[in-house]
Amino acid sequence: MSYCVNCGVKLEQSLTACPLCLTPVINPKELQTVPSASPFPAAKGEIETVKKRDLAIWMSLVLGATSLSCFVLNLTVYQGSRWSYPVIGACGLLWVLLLPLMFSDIVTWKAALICDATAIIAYQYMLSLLTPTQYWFFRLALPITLWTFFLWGLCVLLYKKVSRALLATALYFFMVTGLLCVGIELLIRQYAGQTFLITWSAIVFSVCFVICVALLAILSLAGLRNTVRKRLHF
Amino acid sequence: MSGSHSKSAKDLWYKLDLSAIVYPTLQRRDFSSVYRLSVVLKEPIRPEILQKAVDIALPRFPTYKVAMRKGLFWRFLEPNHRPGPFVQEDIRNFCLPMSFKANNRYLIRIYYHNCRIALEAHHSLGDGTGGMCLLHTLTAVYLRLLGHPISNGYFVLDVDQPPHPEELEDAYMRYSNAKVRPPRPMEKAYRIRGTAEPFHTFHVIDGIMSVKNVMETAARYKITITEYLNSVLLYALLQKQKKERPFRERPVKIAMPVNLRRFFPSRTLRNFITMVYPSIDPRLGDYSFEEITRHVHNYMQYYIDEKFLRGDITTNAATQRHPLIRIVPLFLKDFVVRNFYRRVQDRNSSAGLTNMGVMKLPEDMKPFVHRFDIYMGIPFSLRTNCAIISYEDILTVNFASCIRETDVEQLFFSRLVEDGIQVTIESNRFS
Ligand SMILES: [Zn+2]
Repeated sequence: MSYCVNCGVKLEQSLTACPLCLTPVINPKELQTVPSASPFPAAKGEIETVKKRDLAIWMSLVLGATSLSCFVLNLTVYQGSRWSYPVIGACGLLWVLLLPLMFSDIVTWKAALICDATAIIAYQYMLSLLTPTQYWFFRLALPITLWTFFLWGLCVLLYKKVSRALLATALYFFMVTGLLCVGIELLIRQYAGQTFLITWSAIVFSVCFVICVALLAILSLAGLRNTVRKRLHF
Repeated sequence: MSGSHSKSAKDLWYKLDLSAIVYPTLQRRDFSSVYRLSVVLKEPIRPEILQKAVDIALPRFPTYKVAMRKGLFWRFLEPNHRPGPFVQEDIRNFCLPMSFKANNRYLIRIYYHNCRIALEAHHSLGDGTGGMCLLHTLTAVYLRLLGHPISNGYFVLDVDQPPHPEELEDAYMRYSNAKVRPPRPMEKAYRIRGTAEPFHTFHVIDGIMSVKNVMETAARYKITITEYLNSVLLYALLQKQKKERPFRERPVKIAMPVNLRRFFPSRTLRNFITMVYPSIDPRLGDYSFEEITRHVHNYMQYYIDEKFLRGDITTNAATQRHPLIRIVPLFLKDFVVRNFYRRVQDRNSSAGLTNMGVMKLPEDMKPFVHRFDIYMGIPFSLRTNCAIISYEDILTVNFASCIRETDVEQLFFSRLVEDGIQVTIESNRFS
């Protein structure tokens, strides 16, 4: 039996450090003793996974049935154009977007992000095949989609790995919004063959930038809050 | 609005009681309202005998041998005739979330390890008192199977008798008959912001002390043990908030369940508790420990009173009885309740503390039992919950959390040590 030198509590024999203050247990008189058994079992348990497939089956049926009936109608009754293709594509797209909801136990956020991006790009490509020119797809839709997903992925990554605090989340949001607007304007100008500069997005970007700097300051300088309180008290 | 509608044994079912309605809506992949009660006997447990004891004792508790089902407007409990529940070797990270569809749809789990029998139950089945009745009866049946004559009494129910109808009732409905519905004050309390540990982690820190020792200390402040330990936890939380130098200080509040059976006689084994919130507002000034103890003592004297509590449960029941609320589909109710809980109810307290009180056993069972433990389970938010139970001269304070920080526990136990209480710590963190 040892005591924690810091907290003064008696520690159960098997403890190698004080669970309260993390001070390691060193009892000079009991250095050679073999560690005794813990009152807690060593094995860790996991929860039994229950497959929630009802939603997946239901969604697949609804979307599949919609696609199929549109296709049949297009072939038999309303034969004018290939109007059923966008509908079928939209159903497929919706199905992919709903993947994380239907298979929440398997699909990770990274996989979901890549699937979503691929599905949206594929859908746009299909639409471009139905339009006279594919120019808009390669020069505008594809770059904007990629840029948006890149920024969205960055945002989620920061949220998951760095901090989930409200201020930090706001910081990511404003940072990404600024960059997104700049990217979109540049891509539109390039597509339209205009000069390569930013106008309206510059305003959005600078506003976002100022907010980001302010948020960063609040986040990084713990003492700043105190200073602000001291200097600006009224 | 009776608890159950019985036509024949086949289509028997139970409505959820007033408290139980909330717990299933909070269900997440990594959270269930599961609590654990355990008893440490003096000899190693024999699993095959324990399984036999479960099979004998559980049918006596029909509201614990159930499965959770969804209706259009409310959830309900249905007798579960699937095989099980089966006793299993204990695990380190107990109080795991409990999916309604896993484990053959049983909402209880029974573990054994060395000399310990542990019962985990979903809070929608019943509160600590109900669960404790099941655990005591189960232990008594187990000891009888080993050849020891154990008599019935206290929480040990007679397994040869059919359950008394009152044991299955929703006692809230019987007593929520005050003429006014006093409003419940809600104010954002100080929140512990801990660092989340990965899923499947559960930390417990148990402090074991002598009842006599704690009682003497509490008597020095002229208060009860519950009031004393509440004061110590408030004191620890106040110190933690102060150390963090927050932008805006908030009142420190403890959510403490009160066993309503103390005031409103009922034999119910389902939920029959209500929450009180002893609190200290540091914005009013620095409180010394003596002032905290006096404040907590007065608070308890004032609020834990039959008339006050009757008003409180009437307020609660009024929502559930409201016809407009009753016809709203379940998924909408879930959405509203979950949001209300997350935004208001959970932020209304800084920590949870429950005191099961003194365990009494039939005289002939006492020699076989060493101690009891109670764990509040995984906290809903990133904080720590504290549960207290005592038996003979052993008082256990069990902290349960899913966060890395242990400063609340440290401040809590340090204060006890300062007050001259000898504390032994056990934990699944470093052993
Ligand atoms: Zn220590």
